[in-house]
Amino acid sequence: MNEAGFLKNFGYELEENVYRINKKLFLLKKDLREVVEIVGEKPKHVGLFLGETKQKNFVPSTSLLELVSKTTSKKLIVDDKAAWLFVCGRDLMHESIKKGLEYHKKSVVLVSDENNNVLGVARIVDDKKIFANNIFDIGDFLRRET
Amino acid sequence: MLKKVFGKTTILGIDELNDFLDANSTKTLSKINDKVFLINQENTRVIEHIYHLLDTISPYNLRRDKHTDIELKAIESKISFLNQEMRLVINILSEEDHHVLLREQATGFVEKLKEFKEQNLGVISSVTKYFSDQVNVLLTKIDVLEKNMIEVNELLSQEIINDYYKLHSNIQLLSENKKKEKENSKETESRKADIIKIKNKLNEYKNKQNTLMMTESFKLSEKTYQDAKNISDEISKEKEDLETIFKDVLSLFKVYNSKYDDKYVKAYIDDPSAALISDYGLNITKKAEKMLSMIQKEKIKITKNKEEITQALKKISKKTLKDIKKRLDELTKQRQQKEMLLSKNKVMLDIIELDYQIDHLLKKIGDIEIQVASLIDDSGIDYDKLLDESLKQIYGFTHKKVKIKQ
Repeated sequence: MNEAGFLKNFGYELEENVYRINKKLFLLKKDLREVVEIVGEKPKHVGLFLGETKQKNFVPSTSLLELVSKTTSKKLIVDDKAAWLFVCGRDLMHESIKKGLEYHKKSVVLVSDENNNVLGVARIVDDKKIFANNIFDIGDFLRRET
Repeated sequence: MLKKVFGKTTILGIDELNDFLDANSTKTLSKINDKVFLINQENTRVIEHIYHLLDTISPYNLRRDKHTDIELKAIESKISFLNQEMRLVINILSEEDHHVLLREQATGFVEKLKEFKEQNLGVISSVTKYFSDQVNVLLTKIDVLEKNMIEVNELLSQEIINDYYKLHSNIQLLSENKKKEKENSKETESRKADIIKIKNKLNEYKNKQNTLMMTESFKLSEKTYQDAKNISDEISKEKEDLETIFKDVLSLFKVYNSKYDDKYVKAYIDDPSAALISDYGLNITKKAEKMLSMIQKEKIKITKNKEEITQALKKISKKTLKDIKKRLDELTKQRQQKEMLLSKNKVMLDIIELDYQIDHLLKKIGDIEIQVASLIDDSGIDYDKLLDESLKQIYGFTHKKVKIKQ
């Protein structure tokens, strides 16, 4: 899923205040955009990092997930143990889902714990073993560091 | 009635026991008490006689030449009325009632007869003027019936008859239970099959886990894994302690919040441990103090368990909650550290995931077993014991051995 598809899925559209640097997206305030234009050089990072496209797929940042989480209702709520397993990169099983079992196959949804902390994004598969595949989770950054 | 007789033992289904006892009931009754049998026979004869008398006490048998038309019409209506009322009373006995209902029948008859006599004194006396012989005989016969039925009632009140009635009601209970069991058996079988499937899966997971636990990767982090498990147990214990404190005040909190709708109180009603984590200022202690003061000033009236509730409120102190919160925070931090280490070991993650799945399966099995238990026996009776006793009693009453068809 590309960035436009990802955002559309949660009811957003790419607007003027979104700035692209190579494959990365940033959210810029008007005054910051003016500064970038005045400087004239393309920065490496600016504003709020929203995510980047990797192998044709858009990987959202935790900031973007927090933003989306405030407005979307497309969420799976999972129990504590499943939450930890999810941020370790694991998929979600049916028994882990506290709320959201009604979503149809192929839906892309946010994943939150019971305290409404965003954990990542999952795609519903609803097969015998797995309810949703882990597309992205906030533990991804930590795993990359090790 | 369906029955197969093998030698001296009759093989019956549970639902056939009542029919069996019914079929043997007259005989059984006469064995229990010949007197009842004799009374029944006498009553039959008396009733026949009464019907005959009632036929005789008829407007057609009046001497019309001795009465005016108005007198005749008046007496005709009284005769018809008496005839009709008398038959209603007698009919209580002539109905083909089951012997088990004999006692009720006897009581009913005596009461109805008393009512009849009280309400129809005038009519009886009027009719007596025209049919004095017949009415006097009729009243004598009715008195015989009344005396007999009072005697039947007394005889049937004997212990042995009570046992007989009890046996009947027990068989009825067994039969209903069996019927319900049959209705539930399909569902029970299906649930049991589910349990077998889940147990197979459980074994599969356990085997997988055992295999993984033989690997070097697991052995390297085994201590961390055990530590994390122990810390989780400690956290659960702390949460349980916290929930115990709030359990006694739950109803009070609900009553308080029905008026004040306080967000802190609501959070603790929903989930005390989650509420404590986010209650940085321990605001709930102020609410508890307020409630305690309201109880003391009788602004909140507690009728039940007042002492327990006030004691529990006193336990919701800053010190207690601070200690629990501190321990929970420390334990959570420790667990996170262990989990962080474990998260880097793929085998360990597989094992933890299997732990998680095994826990769910065990819970699932437990839930289904509770459902199955409630399906098998939700009547609260010890079926086998009651059946055993009933069969012995049936033999006692009928002298026939009965075996239950499998």
